[in-house]
Amino acid sequence: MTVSAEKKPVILVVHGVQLGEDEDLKQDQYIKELMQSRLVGHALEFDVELYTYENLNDQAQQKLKQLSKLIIQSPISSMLATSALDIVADVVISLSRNSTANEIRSKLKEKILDYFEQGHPVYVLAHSLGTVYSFDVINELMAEPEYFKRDDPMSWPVQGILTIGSPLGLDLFKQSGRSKATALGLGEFNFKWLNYFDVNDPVVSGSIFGSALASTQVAERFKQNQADFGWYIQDYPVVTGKTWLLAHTAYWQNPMVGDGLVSMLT
Amino acid sequence: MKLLLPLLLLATSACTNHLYQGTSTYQENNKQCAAMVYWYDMSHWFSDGDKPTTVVVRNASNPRSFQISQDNTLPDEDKIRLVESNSDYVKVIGEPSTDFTELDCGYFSGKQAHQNGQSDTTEFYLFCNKKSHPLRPDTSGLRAQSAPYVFNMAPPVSQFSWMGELPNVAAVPLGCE
Repeated sequence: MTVSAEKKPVILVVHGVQLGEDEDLKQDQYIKELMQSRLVGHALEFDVELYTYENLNDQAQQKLKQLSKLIIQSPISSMLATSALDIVADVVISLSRNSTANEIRSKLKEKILDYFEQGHPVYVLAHSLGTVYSFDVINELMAEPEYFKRDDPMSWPVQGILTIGSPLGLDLFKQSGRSKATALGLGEFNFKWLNYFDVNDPVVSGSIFGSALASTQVAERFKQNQADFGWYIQDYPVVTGKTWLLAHTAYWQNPMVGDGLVSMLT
Repeated sequence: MKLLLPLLLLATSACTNHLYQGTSTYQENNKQCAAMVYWYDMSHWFSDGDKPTTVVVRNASNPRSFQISQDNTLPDEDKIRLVESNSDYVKVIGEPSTDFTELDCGYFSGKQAHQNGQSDTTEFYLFCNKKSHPLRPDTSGLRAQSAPYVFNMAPPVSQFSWMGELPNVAAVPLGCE
């Protein structure tokens, strides 16, 4: 199995912390619009697909939500509590190795390999906690001998990953076993990881009170200074002009993110 | 009071966010081709070295973006380093060995002049050549060379980025003749 230059590249969008259900998600549309706005007339054919898993998360949270509704009687308080629960539970699920997290990862891997079998080059664009699932799956694929031969990019089920608002630089993710990226061995080509973040994004900084990120090294913390590493990792601080949680959801329209994606595909 | 904050934001944005845009020509297959460069939101990285921005170089067939940031290690302080945001490039001028984790490709000159909005040209030194990649044929047109590509810059244009307005880059005709 190999990818083909004749097949349309696919941008697989993996969303992150969400309120609501799969049907409410429109990130694939945002990315299509962003790409078109940055290409301004340049001919580049591509498809965008959104990998959704919010319904799986919601099923896993159902009992907790019912309990919170019983405890909180006011309708407004109840709504706020369940919204907060959505976000907190997403984080807990992504950190854990429980069945819901495993199912999310397994279906994502399946989706990537489906495209690979059809010969489509896949580029992953992941947001927030979606970056954690994507990082896990890509590293899992790299550990399998038939994929990611460093000198043969056509054997790569994923050609590169672009992350936005990723918490992967936080210590709690390192402590959960995500301390290293899988080395590809010696060779010429590098697997690209471009990471965009706003210093005011609380999911990136880990500060719930919105303090700005102290260090601008997020993904670059995963760099290894050895010839057989095979990853090209670059952090890009962006200024969304938003504060706190609004900064976390403002990447979808950011021109720098669009330029990075165009750069990765061309 | 309710109106004051939006007005302050508007004023701040108008003062600090600018689009810088310029054009240049280069030779390819005995034809003269046009290329353009643009960048914006200058204020952030000039006031604080750890917040770089993106510069985009386009020709008729390929938009390429670079990260630009101040670099005091270069001999002239008035220099901005470019970092290619696609690792399919190798260094060919100045530094013959390829660094597998960092890829710095060339630099711009004229930092101070651009900061003050006074420069009408910018020099783009390209140090990188593209590797042959089976999925991405090289359509960049701009080859690594010792001499810089000189872009004639239009006056900076103020814009309100918080409103989501994007540079009107489609207005510049690009192609070869």
